[in-house]
Amino acid sequence: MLALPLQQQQDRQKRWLWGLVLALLFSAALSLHLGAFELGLDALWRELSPLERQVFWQLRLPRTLLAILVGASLALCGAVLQVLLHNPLAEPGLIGISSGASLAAVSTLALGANLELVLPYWSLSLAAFLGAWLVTLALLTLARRQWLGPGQLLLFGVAVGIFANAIMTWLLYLADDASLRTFLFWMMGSLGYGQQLSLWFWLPPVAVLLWLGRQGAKLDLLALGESQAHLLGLNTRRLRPLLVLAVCLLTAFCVAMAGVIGFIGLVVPHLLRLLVGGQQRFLLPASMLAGGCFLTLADIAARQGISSGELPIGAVTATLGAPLFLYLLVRRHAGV
Amino acid sequence: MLVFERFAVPGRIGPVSCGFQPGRLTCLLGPNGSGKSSLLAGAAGLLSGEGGVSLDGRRLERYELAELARRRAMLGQQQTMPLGLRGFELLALGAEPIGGVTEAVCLAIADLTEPLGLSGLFERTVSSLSGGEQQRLMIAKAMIQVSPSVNDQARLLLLDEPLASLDWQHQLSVLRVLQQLSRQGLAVAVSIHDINLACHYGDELWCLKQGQLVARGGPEVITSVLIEQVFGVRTRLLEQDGSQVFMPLD
Repeated sequence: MLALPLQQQQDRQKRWLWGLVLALLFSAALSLHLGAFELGLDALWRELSPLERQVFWQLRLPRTLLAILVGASLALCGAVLQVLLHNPLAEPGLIGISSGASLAAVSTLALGANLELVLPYWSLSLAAFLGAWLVTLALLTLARRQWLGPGQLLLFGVAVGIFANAIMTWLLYLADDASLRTFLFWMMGSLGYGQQLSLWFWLPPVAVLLWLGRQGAKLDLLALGESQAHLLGLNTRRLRPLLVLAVCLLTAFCVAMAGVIGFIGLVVPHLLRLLVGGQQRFLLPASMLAGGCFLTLADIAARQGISSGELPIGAVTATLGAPLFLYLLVRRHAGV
Repeated sequence: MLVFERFAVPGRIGPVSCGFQPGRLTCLLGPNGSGKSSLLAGAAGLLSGEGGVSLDGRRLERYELAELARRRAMLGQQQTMPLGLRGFELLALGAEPIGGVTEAVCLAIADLTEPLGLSGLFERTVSSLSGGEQQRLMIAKAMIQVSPSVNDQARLLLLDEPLASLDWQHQLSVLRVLQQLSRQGLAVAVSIHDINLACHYGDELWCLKQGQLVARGGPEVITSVLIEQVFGVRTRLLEQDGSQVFMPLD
């Protein structure tokens, strides 16, 4: 009686996961192919010229991998935060985590420039992590002690975002020309820095991403509320801080590597939930795949959208995500 | 058997030294704030206090969480409905502590959900259901976790005001299923506000007032005098064809 719908649902989820794998491979191939210098699909099997080799290995591949990793991380963080905060509108950008990370990194950069220090790149990642951590802790404390309701938590995030943007605008105004470009990168997002990354930069976020993507069964219990999860045998006291830590690390990595890119964590899990249901053991891996695919396609749009350069990727994702966010907000308010 | 050993939570519940017995349906009665929820939370291991609570002779805090989850289930008053989850997926979560949904679990789920009228809700998203429908699903989920037919370690089922948002028909079906589960050897404790239903279905009734257990025993322990003393409501006992009903006079 129950076995049939469960089996049907599992089959459906498997089909979706395979479909998303294919979509991700397709978007990655498109991202490797398209650009100011087009690489034909035959580049996969024929000998590449030195210029083509340089474009492929030093520009396209790192950029495409970064788009997949950042997109997967942001979508996964959104799905996990929606369970942790019991709020379907939670995502790293909207609730202020990305803004906190961005503000901390930009402030460190400005401080370094002011003191004429050459800061190593990891110091910015560390600052971004601390910024993300502080905002997440504040959010969790406010949510757990019920000082702020779900709607007010969003307003808290919006306020953090406005404050962070205000401070960054001040710093932007006072910055010299050399720092200006870097500041804009943090504020509007770009995947153009992928080529600067060494292999060591990729390993920790990939490891955290894979660990977090496998926590779906536990998150299914946590989605019932903390005490129900505890009654079903889940050690919530141990799991919750680990989840928060993982979300902070991934968000900080995304902000440190690609600046603030919003709405992926909102759009991707929500659409998947509407299409295939809300089981977290499916939603988390599916969000990773769909998030990677979404950001790769958004990056192609950012690169190909205008002939005279490149659109900020944050602007592309916000253009797609903000209308959906407004729709969800109105629908939720109307109790539909 | 679950035993309270001078269990007390200062300001909420006084020392209690008795237990929920296997094979019996215990109904907790008392006005709002009398300590029913605290007592159930203590029995589930969610609330610690002075004294102790033991299950099968072992203190609750000595159990691993997963082991305890196989022995007792509890449904509190506040529910969080997961986003986008469907009825059958929610029910399947009840089987997580006992190794997930197997064929035997499916049969047990069918046995439990049929009388609760849940079959039509399997495919629906839980957040779109009415409060009463959500409540029935959550009750069934807790029952599946400790259903003796699929879980030989099951000992205890605790439900805090499970009937609060249910219509009359479903209140009766839930109580009948609870009675059946207790007959299969489970200790079942349920807090309830309807004194007549408690007297009709309960094997044992505990009456609480301001955190103190003021009466305990079979249905005969409930009298008009006790009701007035505990709830401040005057009643008259009506009897017809061997059935007794308390009617409020105020």
